[in-house]
Amino acid sequence: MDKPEDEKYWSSSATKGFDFDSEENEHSSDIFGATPLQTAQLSKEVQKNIPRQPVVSRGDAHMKLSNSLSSLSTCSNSSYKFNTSQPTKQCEVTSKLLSSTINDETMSSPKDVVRSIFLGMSYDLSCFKKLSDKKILLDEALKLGDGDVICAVLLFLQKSLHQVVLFPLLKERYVAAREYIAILEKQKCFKEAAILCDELQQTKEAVVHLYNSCFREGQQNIQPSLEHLYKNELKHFKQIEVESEIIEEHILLLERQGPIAVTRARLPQSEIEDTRQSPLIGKAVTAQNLVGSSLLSTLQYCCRHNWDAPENLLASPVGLKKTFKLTERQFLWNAFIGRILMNEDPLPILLVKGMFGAPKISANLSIPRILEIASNLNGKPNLFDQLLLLVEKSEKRYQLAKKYQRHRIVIDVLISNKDRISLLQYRDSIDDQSEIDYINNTLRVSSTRWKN
Amino acid sequence: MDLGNLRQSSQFRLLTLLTKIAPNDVQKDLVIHEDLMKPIDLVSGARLLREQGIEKMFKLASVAPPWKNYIRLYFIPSIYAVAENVAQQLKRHEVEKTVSYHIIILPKVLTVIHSLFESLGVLDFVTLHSYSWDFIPLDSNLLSLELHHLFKASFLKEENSLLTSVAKALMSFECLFGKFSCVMTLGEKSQRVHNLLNTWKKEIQPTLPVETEFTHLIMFDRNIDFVSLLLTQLTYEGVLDENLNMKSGFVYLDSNGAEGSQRLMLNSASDEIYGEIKGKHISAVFQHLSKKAKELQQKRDIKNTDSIEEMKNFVSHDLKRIQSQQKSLALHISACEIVMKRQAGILEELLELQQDAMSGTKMKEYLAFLEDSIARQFDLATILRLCCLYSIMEDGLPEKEYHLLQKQLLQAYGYRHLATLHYLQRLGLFNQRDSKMISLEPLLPDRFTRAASFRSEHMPFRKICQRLNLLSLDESPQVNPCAKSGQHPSYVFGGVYTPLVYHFVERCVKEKEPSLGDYVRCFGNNLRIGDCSQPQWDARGKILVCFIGGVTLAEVASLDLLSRQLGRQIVVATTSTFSGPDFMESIASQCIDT
Repeated sequence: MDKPEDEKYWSSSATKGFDFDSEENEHSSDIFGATPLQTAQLSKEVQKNIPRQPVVSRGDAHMKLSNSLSSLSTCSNSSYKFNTSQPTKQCEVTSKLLSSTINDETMSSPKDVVRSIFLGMSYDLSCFKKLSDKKILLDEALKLGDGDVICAVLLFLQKSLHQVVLFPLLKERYVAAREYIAILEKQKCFKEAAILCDELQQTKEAVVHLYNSCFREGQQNIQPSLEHLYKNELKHFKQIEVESEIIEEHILLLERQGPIAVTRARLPQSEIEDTRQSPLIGKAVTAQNLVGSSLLSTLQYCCRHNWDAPENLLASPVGLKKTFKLTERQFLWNAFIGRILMNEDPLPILLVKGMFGAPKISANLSIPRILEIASNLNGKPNLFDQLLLLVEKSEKRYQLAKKYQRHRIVIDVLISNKDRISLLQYRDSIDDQSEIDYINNTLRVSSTRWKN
Repeated sequence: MDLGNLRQSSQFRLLTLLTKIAPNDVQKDLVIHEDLMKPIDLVSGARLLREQGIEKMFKLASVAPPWKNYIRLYFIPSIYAVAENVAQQLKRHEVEKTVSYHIIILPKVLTVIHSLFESLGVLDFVTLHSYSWDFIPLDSNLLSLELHHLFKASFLKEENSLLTSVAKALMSFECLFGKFSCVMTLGEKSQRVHNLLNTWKKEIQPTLPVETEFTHLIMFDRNIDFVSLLLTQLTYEGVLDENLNMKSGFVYLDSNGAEGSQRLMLNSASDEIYGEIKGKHISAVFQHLSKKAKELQQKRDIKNTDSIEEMKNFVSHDLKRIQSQQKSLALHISACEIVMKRQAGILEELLELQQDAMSGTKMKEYLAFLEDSIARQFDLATILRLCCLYSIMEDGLPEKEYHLLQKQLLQAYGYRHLATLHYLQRLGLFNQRDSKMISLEPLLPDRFTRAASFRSEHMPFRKICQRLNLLSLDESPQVNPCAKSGQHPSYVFGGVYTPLVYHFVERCVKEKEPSLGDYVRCFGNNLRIGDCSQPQWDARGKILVCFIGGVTLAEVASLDLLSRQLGRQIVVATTSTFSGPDFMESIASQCIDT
């Protein structure tokens, strides 16, 4: 967008950044016949012997350009003295190199560097060697508030500081710590991210980072990675009982899924894709995608294919229920769906004996909901009749029977209501001859006292 | 106001960049990331790109496309994983020295991405370029930056890199439409963007037009009001977005947007019928459509009996318009059909539950519904929305209920959602109630709680709603005539809730000075009232409402209503549009890449 203005500004600024490719450097290598590598090495050697001038003091974060210029002159002077004491040709090279290095170092005030990152100019952070300088640099970036500038500084700190030093620094700067965690995640350094989260007292997040990392290396490796996490790494964290329980359950499930999928795959008949679906339930899994599916999907799968498996087998639905302490409701829904998808009668699963021996629906499942799912999954008509009879209120039973076109039940409700007119209307609305006959027969009985 | 200027400005910058890469007469190939295809279509269109010498265009895949030319461009969003995929592709092609690669990253080349390319050693033949478009007009009152990953980056991961680009876009907006004389921000990110905007302006010192078209800029963080995201939107456009997943102003009428499926462009400027119905309550839409159908039929029928001369006139003028209207009418009707089919039998129940959550009644039944639906593995996004709505309105779930729901959610949908629930918690959407805080609160006098809430900047959302009067007073919105009529802003959610942003904007521009006392009490430090030197509060120019992190179309509709009520134009600028299902799916996806 405003690139031209950016550049214009920058070239006019007094704080023009140092450029390693500038003419000066190239020129020197021409004259003295040294390669850049040699000069760099030399520079390094020489630098070791020179006491470094502080770039900025801790207390004065926003050093004025004039200050840095004055410090520049002292540095040049000292290096000059150093050179004059050993007036060899080699030292002239050193002098040249030194002065340029020191110039660079002292030219950069943290504020200016941060600003040049913000404006998209070239910059060099390598001169911030001291920890205090690095801190000031980071604080300047935080003050400016641009996330990308903070990232640039953090990437530099990552390269130049040991974790032991860096993390305490970040601990005091929450915004920077969050940015750094995001960087670590991108670099797939989940362990480091977890350690930092832990230092920030966010142990739950630390566990999530480690847990997520287990999914990064393909389906086969999830189980071993989770086991490693559970056995070795979780013990470093406190107050994560819930999370570690969940991870344990996940491992337990994976231990079962593998063998269940394998037994099924060995069977000769291939599974026919079942297209029956209901918007009220999840999609059923097949043997191919069983591993990695959820606990309830696995349960439903076992209810389809391993309904009668004895409890001690891995694929036993009842075994699953017990091992994972599932609620009656969780079990019933999946057993019901599983049975109906296998075209078996699901009713016995749903029924329990009520107070006076009369059957009722277990776990208070809603009958309208059961009916709707059964209708979506093409349940057998017989099932509807039996379920409708369990609806206590006749008005509700009438509505549902009408919705699912169970004529006999509609008719029976109308008969019990002694509602002759509705019965006649209903007779005209249906085609089923046997039901029409049934209505006619009822109407013929003279002893009935119709209310209308 | 001509929002087309924004488009031109984006176009100009894109073309300048492309010319800089290589002159127009040099043929180039372009690989483009899926998310950017529609926006770039809106910015420049394929024809213009072809004029710039782009011969072949490919969709970004995991492997490199069959290249044809030697200059190869990639156009990708600044998502690290995407950039990594591209870098890996290029790494494999390293040997071809004659080829040059240019990677255009939207909105900017982030430092992490630059260092990634550097570390893989591909910068010898790869050049990275930043490109950011201006706000893209999606409709006459809606502008979007289409930065869909901004929400996750800024609010979930707390990375602030993209906020600079929002500030730049706002500066660019000022360059076109003049300086905002009054700025108000609600939320930490908005404040950050405002600061960055000021920093940019100080650095660049752009020349702004003397006359100001937009006097007010009101910025709003998405996380201030999550309820607008969790409730089911009931305006036509909102319903379409929730069910058909609008992308850059388009929806596909087939479920997965496969090629050849019918697509519907949601822009009231080009579709008169859409303009009429987009903000209507869904229950009134079908009526309107059938009335419209009859009208159109009548227009045709009448003309059939006219003289030949008139007939000729009719065919050459009106017929085309009628035909195009009929075509769009047919599309809207089939969109309604799809939605109705999908929501049959479910929507009513959900609306009732939402109403209960908002009024805080029948919570036992509410939990029972959740437990039952979770056991059947009912649609995860819907369930999570209900869970979060409950958590927000009740200021977190009691410990026992929280653990029960957490466990059952994980057992039903997979343990990996441990991360999903954690993210929701980080966003403040699905929390365990802090038992200590609750027990103390009623005992403390009001000023103490106020002091406490200043410190932690946390006030229970129900309290905020009550203070700002956002909840419906009438217990049964069905009988409330406001609920559907569109006279009261809460109609966008069936009368149960007035979007917070409606209320905020109304207060900001109400009288001579904004009356925001309640907001100071509710949001403390998160509220900033512009630091302009001479704020002209009574200026009656247009209002730009900028959402950081995304906006729902229901909120846009409510602001549209406010605009009509005030007689002032309100334009919504957002980092992206999104809806509840869209949001939940992205949070629940396996990889949250930013």
